[in-house]
Amino acid sequence: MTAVVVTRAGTAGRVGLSAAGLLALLLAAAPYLVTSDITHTLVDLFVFVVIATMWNLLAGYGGLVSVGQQAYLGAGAYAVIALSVHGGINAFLAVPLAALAAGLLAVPLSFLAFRLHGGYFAIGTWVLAEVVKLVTAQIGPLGKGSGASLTTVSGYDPDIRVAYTYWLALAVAAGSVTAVYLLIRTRTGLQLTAIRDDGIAAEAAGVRVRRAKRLVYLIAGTGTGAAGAIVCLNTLTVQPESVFSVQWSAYMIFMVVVGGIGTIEGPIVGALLFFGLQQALSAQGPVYLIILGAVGVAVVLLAPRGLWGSTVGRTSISVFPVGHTLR
Amino acid sequence: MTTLVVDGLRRRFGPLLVADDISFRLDAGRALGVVGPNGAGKSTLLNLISGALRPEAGTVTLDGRDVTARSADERCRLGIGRTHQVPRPFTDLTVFENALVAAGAGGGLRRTAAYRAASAALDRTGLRKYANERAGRLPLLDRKRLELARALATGPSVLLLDEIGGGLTEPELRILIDTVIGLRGAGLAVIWIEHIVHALVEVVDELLCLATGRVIAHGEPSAVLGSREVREVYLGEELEEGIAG
Repeated sequence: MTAVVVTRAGTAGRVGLSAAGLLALLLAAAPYLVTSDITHTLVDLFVFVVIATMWNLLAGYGGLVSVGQQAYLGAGAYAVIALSVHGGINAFLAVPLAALAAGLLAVPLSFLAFRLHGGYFAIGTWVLAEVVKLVTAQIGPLGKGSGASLTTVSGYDPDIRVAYTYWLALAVAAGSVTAVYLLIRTRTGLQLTAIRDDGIAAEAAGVRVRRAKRLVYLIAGTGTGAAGAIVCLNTLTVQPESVFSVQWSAYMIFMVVVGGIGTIEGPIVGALLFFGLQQALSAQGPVYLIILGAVGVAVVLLAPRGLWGSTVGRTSISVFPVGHTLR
Repeated sequence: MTTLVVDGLRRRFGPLLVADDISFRLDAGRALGVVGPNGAGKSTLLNLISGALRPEAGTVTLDGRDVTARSADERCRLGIGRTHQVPRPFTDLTVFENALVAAGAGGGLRRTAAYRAASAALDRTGLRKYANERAGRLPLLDRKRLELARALATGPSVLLLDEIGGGLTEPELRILIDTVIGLRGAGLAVIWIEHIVHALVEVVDELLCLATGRVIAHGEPSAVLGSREVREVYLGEELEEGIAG
C-alpha cells in the first residue's frame, strides 16, 4: 500500500504566518509609538478587518449572502450600552459579553432566515436587521430613536481610553482572523468550502449542510457583534440609524468582493484598501463615493476573484495555508 | 449483510408520474442494472433512494431500518453512496480534497484515516495523478471518475451509479467494469444506471427496466433483455445496438 503523506503548509505559508504574527505584535506597540489620533483611526481599520472577515466566512465559505449583518453590529454596540451604562459592568469587559449577546441573537434569527434561500435569504436578513433596529429604537433606557452615550468611560484619561480600545480592537481583529483560519483548516472548514461550491453534492457526500451553515451564521453574528462593541467604544455613542445602517453591509460586500471572496487574505486586503480610500478621500464628498464605485466595478471586471484571489491566490503561495497536499 | 429494500416508491412531477409503485430488494454483494429509455425515471429512482428527492408514497429500507424520512446527508452516512449523472465537483477544492470531504463527512473519518480513504478512492479511480489539481480544471470524463471516487471515499455499503460509463473508450470501460466487479465482490450492493448495456450485463446479477416511471421488467439480465415489453419500449433498436456493441 502506498504511504499516504498529506502536508498542510509549505515554506511560504510558514513564512506568511510568522509575518502575520510579527505584524500583530508590532501593531500592539503602536499606542507607545504614535499619537492617539492615529490609534483612534486605526480602530476603524480593525473593525473593517473583523466585519469583512466575518462576512467572508458567511458568504465566501458558507454560501450565505447576507445583507443583514448590521443587525449583529448594532446589537453588539447596544449591548455595551446596556451592560455598562445600565448593568454596571466595565465597558471594556463588556465587549466579549456583547459579542456573546449578538451571537445569542443569531440563534433565533437563524431559524427565521434559514427558511429562505439565495436572493430571498439576502433580502430576508435585511428585513430582520430592520426589525432588530425598530425594536431597539423602542427601548426607552437605550435612548429610543435618538440613541445613547457610553458615559461609563468618561472617568478614563482619553489617551488611556483610546489605547485600551485600540488593543481590544486589535485583539478582536487578530482573534477573528485566527479563528476563521483555524476553522477553515478543520474538517468542518473543508466541508464549508464544499458546501459553497455545490451544496447538493456536499449533502450527497454526507455533509450536514444545515448544521455547518448555522455554525457559520452564529460565528459571524458573534464576530460582527464584537466589531459593533468596538464601534461603540470608539465613537462613545450609538444611534439606531448609524449602527443598524445597511451601509455596513455595503462596506462588507465591497471589502470582501474587492479583496477576494473565499480566501482568508482577501478580506484583509479589501479592508486595507477600503480604509485607505476612506482616509484619503472621505473629505471629498460625492467624489469619494464615485471613486469607491469605480474601484468596485474595475475589480469585478478586471480581477473577478478579487485583488488577492486574482493575483497571489492563483499561485500556491498563501499567508494562511488551509489546503491539503497529497504527496 | 446489507440489504436495500425499496417498496412501492411513488413520485410525481406536476401531472407526470416519474416513479410509479417501484419495488425491489437488493442484497449485499449483488449488482442491479437499471435500463430504460430517456425520461423513464431512472435518475429519479436513484434520487429517491439517495434522499435527494422524497417520495409521495413508499419506503426505502436499509438493513431493516426505514430511512425514507432521513435526509440525503444522513443516508450517505448510513452507507448509501451515489454519483451524479451530470458531475458536481467541488470546483475550488483539489481532487484529493473532494474525496477528503466525502471521507470525512460521509465516512465519518478523521485525519490519517480520512487521508487514507480519500487516497485509496483516488487510486481506485485512476485519479491519483491529478490529486492536487483543482477539480474545476478536470475534463468531463475525469469529473465522472471523481464522482465515483467521492462516492467510494464515503465508504458506502450501497453504491448508486448514474451513467458513469458514457463517453469512455473500450479500454477505459474495461477498467470501470473491473472496478465495479471488484466492489461488488467486496460486498457492496451496486445499482448502476447505464445505456451501455453490454457493459452492464458483464457486471450485474439482475436487470430492471423502467418506462414512464414503471418497472416493466425485472430479473435475470438475458430474460429481461429478451422480454417483449422491453423490446417494445426500445422500439427494438437502441437496446440491440447495445447488445451487439
